[in-house]
Amino acid sequence: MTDDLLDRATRAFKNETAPDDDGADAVLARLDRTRRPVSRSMRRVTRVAAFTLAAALVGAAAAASVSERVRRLIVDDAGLTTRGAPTTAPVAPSVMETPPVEAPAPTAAPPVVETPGAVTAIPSRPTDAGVRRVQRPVESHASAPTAVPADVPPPQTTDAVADEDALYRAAHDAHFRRRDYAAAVVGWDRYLAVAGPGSRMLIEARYNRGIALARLGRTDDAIRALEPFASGDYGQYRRQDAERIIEALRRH
Amino acid sequence: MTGYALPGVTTIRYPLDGESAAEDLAARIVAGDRDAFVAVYGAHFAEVKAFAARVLGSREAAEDVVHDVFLALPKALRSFRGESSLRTYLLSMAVRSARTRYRAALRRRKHEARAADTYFARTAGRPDKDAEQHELARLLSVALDALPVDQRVAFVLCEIEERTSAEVAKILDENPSTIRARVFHARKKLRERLSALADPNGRDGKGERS
Repeated sequence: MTDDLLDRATRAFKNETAPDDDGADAVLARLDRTRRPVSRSMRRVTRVAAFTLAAALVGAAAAASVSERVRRLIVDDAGLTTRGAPTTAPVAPSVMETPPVEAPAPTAAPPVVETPGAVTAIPSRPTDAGVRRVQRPVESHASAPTAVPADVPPPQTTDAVADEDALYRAAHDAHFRRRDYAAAVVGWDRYLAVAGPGSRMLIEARYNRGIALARLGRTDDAIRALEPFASGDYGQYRRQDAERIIEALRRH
Repeated sequence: MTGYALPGVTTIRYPLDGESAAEDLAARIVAGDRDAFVAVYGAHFAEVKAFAARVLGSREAAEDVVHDVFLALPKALRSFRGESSLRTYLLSMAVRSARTRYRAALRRRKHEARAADTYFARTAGRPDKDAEQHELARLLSVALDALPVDQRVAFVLCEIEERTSAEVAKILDENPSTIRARVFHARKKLRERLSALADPNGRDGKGERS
């Protein structure tokens, strides 16, 4: 009976969603607009605008960093922090310490650059420090949620769950301070579930989730999470890192 | 083959010339040949869009996937060596794009009370649609939303689009046995979900949530 229902529903679904060419012209026009070559002068203007924007971002991020430090000082002085009170029990040491990837050759091993700030590497990474990627620009280091110091506690109340920044901080804390990657994956998932498309940290959270999955040894899930970065869905952001990590995970 | 007219393209008969032409076309697309690009676009637009719509449950999101795929195509084809058909290659790209958009598409539909974006809401008023077929398709669409994306992709490719597990394995770069397992689990979940949806007062009493 249910098999029959499923088969009938499958047939109906197939018929109702049969391929058609609706929208073909519109998408092609959109593609043409997107792919239209940019003139040289336009390129120059874009470069200048990008430079100006980058300078503004650096300034804003530096200001945010300073105000964050001041806030921390005030909060610490007032004795409002609850240091060293992780809410999640750490996972077994074997899980925490097992590297997701054993790179076969030191020169080929991919560095795992985790966003933000905390640059770690898969064991037996290259000895050549030049291979390691330099920390990302100030936006990932100093902007509010990423630059949260390690001693900021995870959210304490259920109300905070709705708060994107609090969720980001909790995931960040689990990932970079406690190195509890199981909790980190849960944290990143919770953040991603509420983060809107315009959220500042959305892409970084996706990348970090992939790294946490790799740390847990969930190779397939990690590859799936990092593939969009490797295939350039986010431009050059973490592209090479993701490519190397995926390659190493596949070899493993 | 679909009937999409290829504006200004008369010399290229792809895929009528067979997949042997695919590598040449790929090289031409990489070199920036618009006619070649439009030929491939015209030949595969409907298929890629239908797949994406079946996975994402939304026409707009499906068109975004088509846009992603064909925007990235010239660059992606630099590594195309003809080991698989261009069709398989395009569907692999569509799977990747659909996966990245899946959660957002589900979330968006959940929050859109009117669900004005679904196939089924759009076709609901059409007099030529058989009401029962429409309802069955709608129920399956709701049931599909409960599947993990991998199972949904495998179900769509194998059961809706009737591809072999070997072909799907090639598209997804997985083992055929993995694909069969995913379809098996998808069917099991869909059976349960469908019977609950079809009989909201049944044993679990869950009914339809959307």
